[in-house]
Amino acid sequence: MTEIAESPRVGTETPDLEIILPARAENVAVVRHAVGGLGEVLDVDDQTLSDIKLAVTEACTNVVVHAYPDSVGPMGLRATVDDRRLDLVVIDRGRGIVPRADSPGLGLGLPLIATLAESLELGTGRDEETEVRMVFDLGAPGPGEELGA
Amino acid sequence: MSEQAGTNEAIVRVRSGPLVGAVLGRVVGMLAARAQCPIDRLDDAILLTDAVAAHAPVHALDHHVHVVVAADDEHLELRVGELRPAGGRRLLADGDLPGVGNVFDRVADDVQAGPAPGGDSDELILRLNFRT
Repeated sequence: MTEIAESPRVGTETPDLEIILPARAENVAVVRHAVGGLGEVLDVDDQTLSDIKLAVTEACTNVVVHAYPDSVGPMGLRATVDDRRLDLVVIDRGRGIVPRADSPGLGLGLPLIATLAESLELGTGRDEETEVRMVFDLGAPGPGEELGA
Repeated sequence: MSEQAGTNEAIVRVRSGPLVGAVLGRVVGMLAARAQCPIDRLDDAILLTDAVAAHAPVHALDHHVHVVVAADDEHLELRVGELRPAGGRRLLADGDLPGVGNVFDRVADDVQAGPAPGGDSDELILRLNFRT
């Protein structure tokens, strides 16, 4: 069951992975590829990993298209794994998630993410970043899966 | 973050463990490829990345490996930061291979190890030129 909520968020513990890049179209693929590495290490099944990569791609594409109308700002991904639960947060420092009458997209990105993820939250981080927070159930681990050192 | 035209920069912070190599290798490979890095130098970049992933965790300050990857039309730079005091030089020394020499020195065009700006931590900077 997917839940959508909008609420302010307080920053959490140090994530297992954090990537920050300029919010350019070419860098959406970089983030997607990095998530592929995360899935490989966590031994995530192909279908789940495909869903995660699609959701992250949609969230990052939203940042590129909507966050910085007149400039290029930062786009970030934070990933935290806890007991086969993957918490992904896509971050920007743009103008926030607001309706756009002149939106170039179809408006399907967030509903698609909501369908793919266990839960989806839109909010504001401790440093006033815009956050799209997604949670995924990674299912049963493969043999020998171990994230930490 | 750099806003210079033609330069792409990723700040990567990964918890020490198998995730470092898996994520860092992909990020470096993507940025280098986007920067039109020649295939032989791409190989070198991945070699350096693998060496960083293998040795940096023991020198990291807080169990996370912190790397800034910057690429433009002529260079790729890996700035491995937030290392313990003298961690830059120790990480560099970890690249010594018997009979081969130091992998960082042999592969990178420019290598710098020492305190990071601000002095709170150490860093190792590796720079690859795409054209010699």
